[in-house]
Amino acid sequence: MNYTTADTIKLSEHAEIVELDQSGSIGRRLSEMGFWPGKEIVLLVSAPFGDPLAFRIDNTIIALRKSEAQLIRVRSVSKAA
Amino acid sequence: MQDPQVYHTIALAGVPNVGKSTIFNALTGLNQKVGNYPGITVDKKTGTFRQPGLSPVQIIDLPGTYNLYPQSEDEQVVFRVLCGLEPNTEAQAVLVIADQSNLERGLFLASQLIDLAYPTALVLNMEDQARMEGFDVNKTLLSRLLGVPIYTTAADKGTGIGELKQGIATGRFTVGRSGIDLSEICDSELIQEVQRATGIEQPYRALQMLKFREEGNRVDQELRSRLSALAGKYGFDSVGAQRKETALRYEKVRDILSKCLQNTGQKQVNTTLKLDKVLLNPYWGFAIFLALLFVMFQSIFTWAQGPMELIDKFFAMLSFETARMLPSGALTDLLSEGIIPGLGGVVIFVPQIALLFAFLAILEGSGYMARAVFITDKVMRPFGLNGRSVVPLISGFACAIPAIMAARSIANRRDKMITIFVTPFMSCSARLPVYIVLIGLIIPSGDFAFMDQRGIALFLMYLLGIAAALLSALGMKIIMKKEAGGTLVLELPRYRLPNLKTVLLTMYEKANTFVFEAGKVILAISIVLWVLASYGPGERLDHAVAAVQKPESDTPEMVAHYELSVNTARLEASYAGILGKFIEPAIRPLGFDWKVGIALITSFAAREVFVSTINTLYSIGSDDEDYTTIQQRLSKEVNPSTGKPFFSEAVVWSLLVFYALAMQCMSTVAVVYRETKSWKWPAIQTVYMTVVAYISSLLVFQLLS
Repeated sequence: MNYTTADTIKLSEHAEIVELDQSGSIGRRLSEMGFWPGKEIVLLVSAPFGDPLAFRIDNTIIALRKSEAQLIRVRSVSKAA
Repeated sequence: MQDPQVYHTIALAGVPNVGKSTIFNALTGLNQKVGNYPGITVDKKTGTFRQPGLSPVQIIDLPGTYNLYPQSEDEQVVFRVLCGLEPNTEAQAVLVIADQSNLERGLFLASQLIDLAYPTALVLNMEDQARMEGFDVNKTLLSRLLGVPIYTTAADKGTGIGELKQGIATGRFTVGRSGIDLSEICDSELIQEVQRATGIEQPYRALQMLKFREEGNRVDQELRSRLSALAGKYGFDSVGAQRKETALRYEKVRDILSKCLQNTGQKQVNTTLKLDKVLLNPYWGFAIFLALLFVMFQSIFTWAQGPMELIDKFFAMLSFETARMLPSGALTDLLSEGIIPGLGGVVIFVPQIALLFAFLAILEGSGYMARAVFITDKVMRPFGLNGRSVVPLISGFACAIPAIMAARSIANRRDKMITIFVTPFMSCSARLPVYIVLIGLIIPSGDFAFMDQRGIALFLMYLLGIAAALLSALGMKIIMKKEAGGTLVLELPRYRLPNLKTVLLTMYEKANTFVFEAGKVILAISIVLWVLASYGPGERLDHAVAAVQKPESDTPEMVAHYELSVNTARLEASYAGILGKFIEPAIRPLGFDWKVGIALITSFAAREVFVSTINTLYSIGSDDEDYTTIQQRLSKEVNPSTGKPFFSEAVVWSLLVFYALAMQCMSTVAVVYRETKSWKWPAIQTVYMTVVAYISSLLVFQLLS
């Protein structure tokens, strides 16, 4: 299967969350902010120097550092614009 | 009274960026108070809601949080208040605010709050926005599923506020339906035992106590060990329980939403996405940010000028009139020369504070602030800072006091402390007069290449401050390596028009906090400094004054000259003068004599006092603004041991470096104390900055002379 982590998806790429690493407090925070398996995220923009990244999830935009995005395992659903 | 069942203390809770402050402001207006939660740096905001014929209702504005799990200080406050662990702050009912166009997260928190079993009501804010984006909520059904009354508002426009007020006035709050079944998380018997041990009736509140019993040492030792024993007995694991609860709760929330939320359109956050294309552009995003900061900084610098001069004149006049009207004596002197100028020294900062926070409130309210954090985060990280540090640091160019107050928005403790610690290195506007006088002494006006030479020197001084700040931040990051750095996980909210009322109230509140909290310390120190500069041991002062040659005639010039000489003699004979001579051996290696020593001591009040002290010491008697007179006089000062001018290049550079790096600002000390709630940080900071300044000046002087 074509799994990767959220920090590696491309601009405007749609991906579905497969799994969230909740072993640390950041992972738990992400789950409280809506990063749940089954949800779709889109990478909207990356900051200068490529970090942090801004994702669209539900009706909000959430910025994550790359290290934080690594906790999210995703599967590309390639609806890229 | 007609309101037997009205709740008199209501807590306002909600996730960030849902317009909670706007609703708080709409309910309470100017009847707000900012206080402290003991042992934590989060402000305690309370307000009074008044309706005719109703006894006042106290509203507690809790910080915005995504959940009730106490990780950050903000969350600790919410957790403590709602679990009854905060003495003197006991909520009787809870008003939950949620964003109607982003209900999932809002309801997650709401369902936690409802489970705490307070009488609760839910406000769905930003109704206009939600409708525009095609969200349609079946409120009747939602209200039935949650078991609490629901209000819809567009608080920015004032829509729905009337009904909300009416609801609060009539006590329309109900204990809602429990969202999740606690027996799925842990043993029901465990909950019962915890309820018995803690005396808490509500099962979910009891579970929270069990999960977070170690939190902030709020639970007393005995109960804590009993709870730990219970957890051990039932094999209860807090982290696992929390994870399970989160999963169950989300399931429940989604189930509710699937029944009562319809999204009819696709126009979601469209304007915001378009604006972000420009404002977060990898290339010009940064330039736009810097341009905004530049405008902000320039405006604080220039717009505050006028009001500051007025305040200055007003207090000078007040002091003069007091001295004239009251019988002369020690008490009048204390009032007119100690207390009134001291008060003036506090109030003088109000324009800058109010302006900076007006800008910050606009940036925050428009949604841009989160973007500024987003684009600068990476650049700041190597220094142990994060994106939230940028605004305080840049504001430090105007004045460290509001800048340090602005550091409050940094959630991570380490990053916040480093930001507060290094911000005073940024060259603030009070250093400018000192720089101008001193640079003018050694650098002739004229151009070097295309630039004014003095301008280049001034620019170097600013660079020195930035370098000192960043290097110190780096050092602190290494020292504090045990403390975890911040995480980002930052919501970029929708762009919206900032709310004028919120902006005005922020200005008022910040100025108010500064005057009444940091102001006390500043006033106290300025009185001490005044006593040091106006009194001396025994008859010393009188002797010194008597020794000044009386004017030969009473022409105005002669009298003026005599008075100036008297002032110089008094200052020399005062405790400050003695101290100046006392520290002379210590500052001699920097090229300073006892006169500069006096200026260093008196200008601890504020750097710009250096100029007026120099004025008095050298009997210049010029207007403070008239730098050329001062420069002319200083350039004539001769070093008695060498016969050469005292203010040589080496001495002046040494002084410049000292003023760039030393703390020399009691208001900063006071505000750091206020923000960190301890004397430890301001003390370490003052010592550190003074040592850095001393060593740097020493190097500069020794290298140049």
